[in-house]
Amino acid sequence: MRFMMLVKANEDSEAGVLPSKEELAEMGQFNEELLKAGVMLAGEGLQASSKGARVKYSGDKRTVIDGPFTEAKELIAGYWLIQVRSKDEAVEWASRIPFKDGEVEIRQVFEASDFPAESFSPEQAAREQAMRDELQARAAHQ
Amino acid sequence: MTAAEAARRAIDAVWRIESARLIAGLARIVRDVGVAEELAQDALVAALEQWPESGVPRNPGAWLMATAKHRAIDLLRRRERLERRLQELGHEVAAQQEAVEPDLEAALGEDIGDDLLRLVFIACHPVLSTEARVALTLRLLGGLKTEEIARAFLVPESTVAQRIVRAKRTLAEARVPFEVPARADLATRLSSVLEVIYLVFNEGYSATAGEDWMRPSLCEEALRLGRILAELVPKEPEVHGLVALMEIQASRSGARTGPSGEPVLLLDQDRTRWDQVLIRRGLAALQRAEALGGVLGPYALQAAIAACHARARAPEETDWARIAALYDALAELAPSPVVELNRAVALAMAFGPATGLELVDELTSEPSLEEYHLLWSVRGDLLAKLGRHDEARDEFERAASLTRNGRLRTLNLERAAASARLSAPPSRQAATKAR
Repeated sequence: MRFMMLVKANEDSEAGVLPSKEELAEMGQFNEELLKAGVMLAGEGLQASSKGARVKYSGDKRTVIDGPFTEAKELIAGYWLIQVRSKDEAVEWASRIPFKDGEVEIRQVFEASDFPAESFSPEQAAREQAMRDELQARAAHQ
Repeated sequence: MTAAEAARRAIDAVWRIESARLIAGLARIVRDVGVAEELAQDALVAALEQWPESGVPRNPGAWLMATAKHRAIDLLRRRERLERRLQELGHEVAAQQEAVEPDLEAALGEDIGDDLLRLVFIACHPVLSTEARVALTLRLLGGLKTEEIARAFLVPESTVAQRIVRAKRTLAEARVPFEVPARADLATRLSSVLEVIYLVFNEGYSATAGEDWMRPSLCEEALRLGRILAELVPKEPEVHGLVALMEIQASRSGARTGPSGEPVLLLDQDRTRWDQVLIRRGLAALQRAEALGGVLGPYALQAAIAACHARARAPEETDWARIAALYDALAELAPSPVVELNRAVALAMAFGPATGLELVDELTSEPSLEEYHLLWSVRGDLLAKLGRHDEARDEFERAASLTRNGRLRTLNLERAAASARLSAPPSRQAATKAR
């Protein structure tokens, strides 16, 4: 199963303050650990919300609001996508992130198998298949 | 959740992350994977006793390693004392008890990655049967419990337990050294490792809906092992090839079965359901394999073929000529009738059904394929495309009779029926046309 470890923004990340050399080195080491353990699928840091925008939906209407946005704690500043066997394992990995303060939220990712396959009955599928075969066969005739 | 419960769950997670490195580090000290695993288990038991009280330590992996190492040293000292006493009694010392006090400081400093690699190679050692290699790999490297392995492979737990016990005994009796194989043996030993990983992957991939979730999760186990191995031996192109192949195959898992669990053929799959993260990872791994230079091996070639499909947004965009060329290369490197059959399909797609049929017809005299349902359904498909519906129907029926998979049988029978409809008597066809 997959989890996202979502890093919450803070004043520094919103102000565009880059991590220190030591912080970068520690983070690099942590990423290396994830990689060596074969669990890391992806991960990125996000720039301040001042460089982003929000799009709001209301029926057909779209409203665009440019950043920055307030309430840094509600914003996301980065993420890891990891593949592990349990939420506990994700929690253990998150505990190892070399942060001194702040917060990381762990969320499970939907897998294709969590959704019912298309509302497509077997009979329909079979008919479709037969139709495709006939079309192919006719094409071969021409 | 009680503190005890929280600690137990944390321990499970830590075990999952640390056990392989723990066992690997211990195996170097005690020179016996069986003993190493027992020591690691002892440390786990100690954690289960202490952590609920003391809380989970700041660095749980190091805690487990320190605890286990103390026990390892105790064990070695006991062995040594026993040996001395035996000597005093004038007995001959069994060679296997030559206990060498390990240089623990040096041992601690050595790269754990090397130990892990040694553990990979010993778990997949050729003195073991394939089944034993699979069980031992999942147990020692995947951190899976015996019960979980049994559920995943649909065999009784006692069978797996026995396999593991025997495997450890075999390794001890054969005095298999805990080491990375010499350069000359590396290629064959590595291919044994890759084979085990791919076998685990395929077992998971062949799981069907409604089965125990442990089965499909084998795909993730195999991917994890493959990714770990790719970091341990980053200069081996075939490891990246295998990882690429598994990532790309796994990317299709959401699209390869229909609503009632029936298989959906590659070209009929809804490509929007393919997992783009895994495809990107697969393509990147393939690139790593290719960047290392040299001739692509069988896994990298299969990955390259899978990549052709992954890159095509729609079936019509598939680069069949390249796929055919890749199958040519694969057929030369690892010739097999099944590869030939796939090559025939690619040729048919690239250059027309008649070209493919030529090769398929040659294969019909291949004894190993006679009972292979795909040969006959492929032949049926090509015949149908050429308008030879009478013959096509026979082949689909034959294919249906040869598969034990109910859903595939249905699929073939449906195609047989479609061919039968199309091979209606000529008079009626003419009449229809006249109208």
